[in-house]
Amino acid sequence: MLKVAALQKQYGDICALNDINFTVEKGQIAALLGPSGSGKSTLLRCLCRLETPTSGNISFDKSEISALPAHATGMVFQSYNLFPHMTCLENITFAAKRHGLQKLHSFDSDKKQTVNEIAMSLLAQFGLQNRSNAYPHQLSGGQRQRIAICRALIMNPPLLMFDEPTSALDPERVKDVTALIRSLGGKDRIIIISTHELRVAQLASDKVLFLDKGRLVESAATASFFANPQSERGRQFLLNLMN
Amino acid sequence: MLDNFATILPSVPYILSGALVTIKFTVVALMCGLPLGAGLALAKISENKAVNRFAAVYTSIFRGTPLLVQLGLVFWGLPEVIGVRFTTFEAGVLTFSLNSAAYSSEIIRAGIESIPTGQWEAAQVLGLSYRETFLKIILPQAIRNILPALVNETVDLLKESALVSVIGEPDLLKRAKNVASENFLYFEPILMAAAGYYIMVTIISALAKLLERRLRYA
Repeated sequence: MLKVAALQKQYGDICALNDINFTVEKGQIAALLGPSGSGKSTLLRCLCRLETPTSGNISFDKSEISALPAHATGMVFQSYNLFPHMTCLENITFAAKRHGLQKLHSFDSDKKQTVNEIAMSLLAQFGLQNRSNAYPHQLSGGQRQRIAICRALIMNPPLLMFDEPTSALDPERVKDVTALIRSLGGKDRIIIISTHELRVAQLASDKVLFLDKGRLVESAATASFFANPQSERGRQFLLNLMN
Repeated sequence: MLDNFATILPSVPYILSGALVTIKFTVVALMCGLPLGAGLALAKISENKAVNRFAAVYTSIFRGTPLLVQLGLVFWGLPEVIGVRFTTFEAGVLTFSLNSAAYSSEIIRAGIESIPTGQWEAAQVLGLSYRETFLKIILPQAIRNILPALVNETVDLLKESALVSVIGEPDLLKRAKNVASENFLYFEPILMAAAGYYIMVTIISALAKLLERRLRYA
């Protein structure tokens, strides 16, 4: 379980996150939904440890998130941030090899596989097996995103995060991406998506955490949030975007 | 004019061997100046204010005064203060290295800062250390970006090395001037020196193009 308690993030006088409390259960996909400047990116950055909270607590399976090894969390950035001087395969395997992980447990069997073997099977899973030696600039936006996903998945993180997964893609691709994110969920994994797009939250998530001006305004099951938001601000947000 | 060229013809090997002196100055000054410049660049992006300040003042002084004046200070001025007399080669290399470090530190700093913060963040999320990130992620990208500017710096260094002729080092220009005053002919020997510089610069530029092509992402 991911548990966020009394989380606060202050930049000078600006309070980016104010008293955030929520939990996400294993197996769930949660969407951080809200307008620009609502604090969803800051919250995601706290979860993947790019930001240190001013106060409050984030724990995962009862241990402090700051105490977890790097490979416990995976992050797919909005602009992917692939390393342009490395091939796709190197992008995916570089960190795992640096951590001294020469062999990892494969995802679907008990036998150990080398990092390269797992990377190749991930690439195959995403239909990119023939692009392993290509450089990021030789790929389309969607392919680059899938490489970024492979890079985040290589160490099989129990907490996987996406920052605005559809913002850099063709709007027609939203359905594919949300289906892809859905397919990455599992009983031992929590996925957090930060998005300002209703359709992404609606299609991909089980739970919506609606933020506005640094506060968590509403936390509800996705279906019920979209059918009947409990907060006035949530209702307004839905109305503004649907009309 | 052809007669004049015929007059200096026997001195051509003498003049052109000055190119070796020029190359020696350039290579040694580059080998000392680049690491010093890289150190200064790191000082400039460091979070330590005192270190920042030192690097900024250093750069400002070396960029804010003429190279010839710096050379004069080192060759004629410093011996009065520290009591050690430098050879023309030592004074030249010392001055050019210190001066080149100031310029290349700015190039390297800009190169490092040109790499988007997303690259640092991606590395951090993947659990890479600062050192690993800098050496394996940031630097390889920065070097590609700054290569053309570093080549310019090398070319500048090579051309500015002609200033050592003022303190008497027998480089390309100094030798051309020697031949000129022996024969009372200025145009031809100095033109020969100019051609020598031009050929060296052209070769450096061509080599840099090759290197740039090799470093490009396949």
